[in-house]
Amino acid sequence: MHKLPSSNVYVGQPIELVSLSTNPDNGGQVTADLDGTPIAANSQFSLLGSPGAQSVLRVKLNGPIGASTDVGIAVVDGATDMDFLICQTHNPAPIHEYKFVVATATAVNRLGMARGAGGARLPGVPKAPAKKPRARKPRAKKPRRKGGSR
Amino acid sequence: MTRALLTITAAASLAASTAAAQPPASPAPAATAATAATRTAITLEMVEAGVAAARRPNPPTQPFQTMILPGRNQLVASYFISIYSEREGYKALLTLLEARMDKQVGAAPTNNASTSLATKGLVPELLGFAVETGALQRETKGTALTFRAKPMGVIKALQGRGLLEMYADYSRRPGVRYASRFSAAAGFDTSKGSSAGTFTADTQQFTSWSLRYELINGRDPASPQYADLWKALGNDSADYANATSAVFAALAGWPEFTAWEKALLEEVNVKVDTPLASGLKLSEAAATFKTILEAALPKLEKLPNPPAAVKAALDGYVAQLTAVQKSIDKIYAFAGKGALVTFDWTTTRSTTLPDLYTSTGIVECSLGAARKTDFTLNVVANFYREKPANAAQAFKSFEMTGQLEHPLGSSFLLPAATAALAGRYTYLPKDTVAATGSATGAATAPKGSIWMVQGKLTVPVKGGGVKVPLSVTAANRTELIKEKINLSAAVGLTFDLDTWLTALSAREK
Repeated sequence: MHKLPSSNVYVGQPIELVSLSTNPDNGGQVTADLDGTPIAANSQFSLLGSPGAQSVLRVKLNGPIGASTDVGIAVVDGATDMDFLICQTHNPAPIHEYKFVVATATAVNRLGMARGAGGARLPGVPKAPAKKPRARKPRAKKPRRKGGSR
Repeated sequence: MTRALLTITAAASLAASTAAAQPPASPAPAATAATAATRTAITLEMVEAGVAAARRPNPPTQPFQTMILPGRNQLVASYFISIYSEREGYKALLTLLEARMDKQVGAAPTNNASTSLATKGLVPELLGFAVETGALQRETKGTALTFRAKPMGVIKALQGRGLLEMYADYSRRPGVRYASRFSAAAGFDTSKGSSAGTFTADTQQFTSWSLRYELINGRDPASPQYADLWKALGNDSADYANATSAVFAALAGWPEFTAWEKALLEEVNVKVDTPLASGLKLSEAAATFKTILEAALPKLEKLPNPPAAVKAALDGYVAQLTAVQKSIDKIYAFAGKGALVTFDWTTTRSTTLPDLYTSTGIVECSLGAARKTDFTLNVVANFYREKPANAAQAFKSFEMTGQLEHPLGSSFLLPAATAALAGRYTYLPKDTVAATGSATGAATAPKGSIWMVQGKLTVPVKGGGVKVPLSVTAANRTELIKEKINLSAAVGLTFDLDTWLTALSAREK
């Protein structure tokens, strides 16, 4: 799965498994829903099966001012993409939306390569064939000359 | 013989006698000033969020874009709410968001002029003062003026932090939270001194100082005991979540806004997040981010062609956020009734007697599932710094006070008024002395037991952080005079500067 730069949009392939992790602090409580259906704040879900389909994940934080939570979405470009929510005076109950767009495996890999991710390995997708390193030819051993022996 | 004392002091004359008690005299600032203050606060919250995100052990790759990316730009929505604050409910929401909970302040009950029989444990974060007048325990009239502040609150204020930012700091830093449990107070009696009747804060009017520490504070809304309430709020706010999503969608459908957003994100990426990842100091990144926001956010007001869908979405968001904020306030209020155990040390000065030390253990809790009835228990030991002349020993007395307090609510003619019933038992093991308001300054307090019962009605004055306590007290005797029944009544005023300061800072920023 890849994330479009400076956006909340992730592109993954059909039925790709997504992991959501949260780590609330300072009295914060996290709730989440996927397309309006509540899911656990630490859970996994699969993307839809049809290319072009979209899912919207909402992570909601409730707590006193200063409550916060880390949000991790994986696997994005081979790692966990982190986000952060915090309850503030003018944003006392923050909600972050994450859009998951389904694309074909080929398109996802092309996106990864275009982003310089080198075709991140995705679950169920074989790793893009890497260029074989050139095999060095072993140097033929030169017969040792015994110095001074003629 | 039955003695009856009735002391009623008009609020107007009291206010005139204490210059420091005057409310702000300047006329209400224009609405634009309040709006500017809100926008400044929103900008600072964006910066704070970016800094907090960058400080996480596992931070986002672009921490300063955390609050301004599409699908999470609620602070931008709040900025729009300040722009369209003339719309119905918008200003009310901003006021609600920026409001602070009132907290009772008052003179310690050892002070002559106090109308409080039992001491309350919590104090304002920055500075509270109360003026109360009347007679309670003694037959001495006077005007008590108490300043109480938490040292950490004062330090934070001197560092340029507003009240609204303090709570965030308290909740984030354990050390700050620990230090914030300390508070100190100074008491003055404006009826004393050469300029009696005018608050001069000189040594003659300085009557007491105290230190207080919260041993157990079950009133922290971040405590695990309130986790279920926060969780339930999250589960029950589907309408709010949908309204938020509607705002995100409406903003995304406004081409002029998305162009503004794209430019902002690009600038933040190039000037803040990328340099930060390359080793730029966080403080410098935050300063740059603030500068960028201060230039970019005002442009929102001039964005052309705001779609009707944006305003409609904001209307829905304002309505839902107002409901959520009210629920949040209820949780705060519920947490504010949690158990609290406080230790207080007060030194009362006298011109004729040694300093009187009063150590007080204060237990506060609320009764019932809804926590509507407050119970306060004070256990007090009084002793002089040294044995006074005409006293048998330095130890003066032992006291135990209990108070029940119940809000009368809308069922009574005076909305939000609070009724309280209190009782106190005092034991003087030996003949001792006590301060008086007479010329001699002290008189013999015969040994024995003193009981006292007080009924009190506290009426808040709407919108001013001012409360009017009315009390009637009956006692078998006073410290100084052994009589069968002593009946007295008192009325006073209590001010909470937190309320005023918050309102003032919102207008003047």
